[in-house]
Amino acid sequence: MISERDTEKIFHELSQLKDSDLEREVRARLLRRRSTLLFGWGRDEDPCDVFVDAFEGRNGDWPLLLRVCASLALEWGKSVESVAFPEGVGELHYLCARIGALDARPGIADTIVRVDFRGVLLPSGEGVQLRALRSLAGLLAISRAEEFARYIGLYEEALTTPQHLPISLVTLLAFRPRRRDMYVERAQKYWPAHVEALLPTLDRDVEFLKSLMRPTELETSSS
Amino acid sequence: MSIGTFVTPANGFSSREIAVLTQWCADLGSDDALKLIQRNFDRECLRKDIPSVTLRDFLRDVAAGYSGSSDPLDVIDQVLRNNRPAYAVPGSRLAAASNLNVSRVVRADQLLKHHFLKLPVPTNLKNFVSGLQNGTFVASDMVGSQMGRADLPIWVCRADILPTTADTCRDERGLKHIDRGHLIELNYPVRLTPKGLHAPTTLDGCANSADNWIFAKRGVTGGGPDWGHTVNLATSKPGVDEAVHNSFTIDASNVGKITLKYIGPITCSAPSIDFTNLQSSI
Repeated sequence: MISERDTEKIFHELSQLKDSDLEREVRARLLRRRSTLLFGWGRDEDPCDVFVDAFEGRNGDWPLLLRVCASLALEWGKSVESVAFPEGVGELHYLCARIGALDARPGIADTIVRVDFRGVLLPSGEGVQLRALRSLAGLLAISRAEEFARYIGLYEEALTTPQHLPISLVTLLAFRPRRRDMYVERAQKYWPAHVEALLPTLDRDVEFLKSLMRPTELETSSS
Repeated sequence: MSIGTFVTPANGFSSREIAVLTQWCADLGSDDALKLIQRNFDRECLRKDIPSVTLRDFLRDVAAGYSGSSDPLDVIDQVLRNNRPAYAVPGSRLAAASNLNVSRVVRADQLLKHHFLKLPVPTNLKNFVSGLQNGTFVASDMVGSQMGRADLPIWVCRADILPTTADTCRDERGLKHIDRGHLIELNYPVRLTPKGLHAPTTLDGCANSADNWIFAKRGVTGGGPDWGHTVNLATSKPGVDEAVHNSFTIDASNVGKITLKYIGPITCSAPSIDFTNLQSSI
């Protein structure tokens, strides 16, 4: 245990870890288990913060972290046990999105369609599946344009859930702008009051997602 | 060791509990950082910031879970983890004016993550930060989210003492874990908090993990309930007054009272704490 937090030292030590050791550290941190390497959490610190910061500290040049996170996302997307640790799952999806772990997309998608994750909340009150939809949308923004076709059904289906409607509509309109009227009409059919409340900022949020679109190059480097 | 004046048969502790807690307290003295936690518990026992029955229950839970061979911090984490509702924001309520405004400082990425639930999670926060700076993203976007989380205290300071730079803000508020990113202030009146402000306690200081060192219990014996104070990271001396409150839902009825302010970018790592200086000055 390092009693005084030395961030640069931690970043360096993390970056030296081999596959299985890094996987162990990521898993332990996300599940709020103590480890021999990492310090405890600061007041409002979330489990994944240290990895996001370390990744940015390396200017995104940490392919092993991308692989480890994607692999965990695939594992937890399938594992029935993962519903028992929603915070870890939500943190992992957020981490994958922040570092651009494109290979995590199928694992995140698995979480979105799992019946046992319906209504499961993160400690902040956000639904696990909403976090997954938001994280996947961020990853799709940096994916090849045609990738969205694989996941469009998830967002169309999510329009039927009021909590998921805003991110779903934003994502659908950003990736399929020509179908705007159709999607807005469909959403209004399900949840008219929710759509009404959403309209004043809808275009702004769609533009925000569009502004993140930076396809292709990351896809190659992480695959 | 002041904890010894509280952990007595008269306060309901058995001889076994007294022996275990004496050992636990001694084990907390093995390095400077642990000594701070030890001192925090000592001071908690001497003050009136927390109902004595809550402190007694906590220490009895520690006694039940601790063996001399285990990590003295692990047992704190276990007790808090296993009894979240009982030990969430356990301090006594402060007599704070309901129209007083408080401020909570968070990183921009946590603001997006926990409050802007309509937005995707981006790889790059640049456009989100720009939107906060130019007023494109505002407090009303936070409707439907929760201020803080139910199982952890929310730390706030008076809103009229916000420093001008992010680095200074981080240092004065003792936000030791923040080395990167951009800081944002959430400013709101105390009346939005469901149970008002509470005195920060050592249990709050350990709530996210017991080796979250940078909490220094106010030292006046017998006082309380009072505001606590942060540890100024730059000086290892008392920073600004702080208190805690419970989480609350941000909805259409209260969001108009919340304002967001972009403070600025963090430009350097948090300074190292001088524990010797801290122990002598706080």
